[in-house]
Amino acid sequence: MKVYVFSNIPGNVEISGSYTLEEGTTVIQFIQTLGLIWNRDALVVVNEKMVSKDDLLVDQDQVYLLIPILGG
Amino acid sequence: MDILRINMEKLEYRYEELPQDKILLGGRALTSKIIYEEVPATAHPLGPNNKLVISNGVLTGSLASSAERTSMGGKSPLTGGIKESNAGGTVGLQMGRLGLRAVILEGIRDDFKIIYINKDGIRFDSAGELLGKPLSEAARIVYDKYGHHVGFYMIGVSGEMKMLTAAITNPDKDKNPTRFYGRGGLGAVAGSKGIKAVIFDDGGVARNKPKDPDKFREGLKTYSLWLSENPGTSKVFPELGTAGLVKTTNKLGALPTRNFFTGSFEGHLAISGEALRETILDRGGEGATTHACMPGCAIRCSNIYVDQSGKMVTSPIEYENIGLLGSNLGIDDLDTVVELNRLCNEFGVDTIEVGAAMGVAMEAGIVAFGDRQGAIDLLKEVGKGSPLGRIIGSGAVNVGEIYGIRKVPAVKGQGMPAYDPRAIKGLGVTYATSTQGADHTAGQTIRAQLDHYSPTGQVQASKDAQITNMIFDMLGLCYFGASAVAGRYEMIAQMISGYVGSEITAEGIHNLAKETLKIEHSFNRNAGFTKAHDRLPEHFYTDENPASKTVFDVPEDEILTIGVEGYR
Repeated sequence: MKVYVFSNIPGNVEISGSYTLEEGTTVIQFIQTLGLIWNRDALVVVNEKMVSKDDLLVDQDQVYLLIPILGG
Repeated sequence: MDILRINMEKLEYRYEELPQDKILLGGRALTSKIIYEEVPATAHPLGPNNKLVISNGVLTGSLASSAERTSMGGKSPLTGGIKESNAGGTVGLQMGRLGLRAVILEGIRDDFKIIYINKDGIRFDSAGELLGKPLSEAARIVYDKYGHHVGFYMIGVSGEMKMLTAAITNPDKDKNPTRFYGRGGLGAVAGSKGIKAVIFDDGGVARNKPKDPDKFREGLKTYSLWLSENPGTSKVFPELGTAGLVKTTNKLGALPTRNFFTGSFEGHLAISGEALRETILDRGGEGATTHACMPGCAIRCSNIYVDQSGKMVTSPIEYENIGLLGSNLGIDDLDTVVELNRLCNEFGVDTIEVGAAMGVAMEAGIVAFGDRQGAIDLLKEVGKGSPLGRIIGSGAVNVGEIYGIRKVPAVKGQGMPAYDPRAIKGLGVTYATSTQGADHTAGQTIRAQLDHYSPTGQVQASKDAQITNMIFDMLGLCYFGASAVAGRYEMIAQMISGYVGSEITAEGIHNLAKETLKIEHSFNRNAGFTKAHDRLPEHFYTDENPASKTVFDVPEDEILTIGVEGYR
């Protein structure tokens, strides 16, 4: 299956693009393959929804990696 | 360390040794403790019984990265409850060098004074030549008269007029007077006491040293490593600043747009952190995409915005300012947002409250959403002190009441910061239950990887965040470092113990934070707050945010467990 990543996180913008994954891949597994630490390096939104780490990705998912900082 | 007590009515002062039971209290913990003990909860905020308390954080002056924050406390004229507002900058460092943990300002007077403090004592000077001037000009006069090495707190014309949006400022490390204690109208409290400025001259005073240097250094080394290893503090903040959040909140449907009608703004790309960075880089000159507001800060989230010719306009441009003065007003032009920000800085008003007030004014049709020049002209009325300017300068709730607008984004009288509570529901819980009114820095939950649209788990998230924010506020640490510290307070406890020479544990820090929250809720109960105040405005429960397709639906009985009547 194929998923699409959109990232505007400084230092990780270049990981935007399409990825081919095995069926049954969870969100946290995929995030870790990108070299990111769960719940630290990105806020992860899949198809307009905040997700949990064990949620399964499916074909054509759009994975948004949002900047995880606090406003001031 | 001492507490300096100044009576502004009698122009008298005395130094008091910091009691042993307060040696580990700093920042918000100390301001709230003193306000709770010394100010009647029913006092008029602008009357003789209210006090303005300035307190350094426990680590302020230690020169640990991002640890130079100072708190202001008092009874808020905006909310009617206890208030703490803190800022970075440089003056806390100078206050600490003069041996002061806190300054308590008492009494009221009608004329304005400059309080000058150095190692030999205090002098009260006339403030006449500073009155009525933009803050940048008043700061230049202060530096010319007292020397370029001094630090100061100062109010603008809004504070002189005792507006409810009036803030207090202090300079950054480049002497720009733009580091604001913004929230809750504490500038009006200073104004009521006739305090135009408090100047700290640390000439001839040695820097503070840790009581146990080895222990302090060991803790500091680990803390600094955490900041350098965490991508948020080492990469994101230095590159985009807090404005990097614009795309995040827009995606989540939380970016306030047109008086919080919706949470996604079609013009958000033009006012995003990326656009801000590109504009500053393109224009060059005095501009800077990263900048430290306090000496030694490793996070460097600040910036310096410049005009077309590369000349500095103001500093910093932050997420909240973009949200409240940009998308909330339907404005998609950075230069306009920055000009609005600059005017707020010159008048000394809270950008969040004024942005919320102007959004309500636009809802009332005084100026159209998106009208750039109209927004600038409207804000200039605040500086003039015209009747319309005083209405805007009275905050969002007053604008709504005067113009008959019921959809006012405020809780306990204080305007919401730049997160729609229907899309970040944990923050909605914080807005509802915080002792401070709607305040993102009282319990920020957006950083957590949880379903922000779900009503489940939000009360616990807010409760935890309120304690975390309190810990940072009382230590003088910038909460932007929270993701790097990640709850590992053992090393922070070691830093504190090494710095002040009094032992504290991680559990002790945690307990101090909880105790301070209890004190604040107790003050508010005594001031007349009930569970009826622990609610968002009605329309957030009924009107769907079109961007997130959610209403605020966290169960009220659950929320009230951490509110003014429930927090134990």
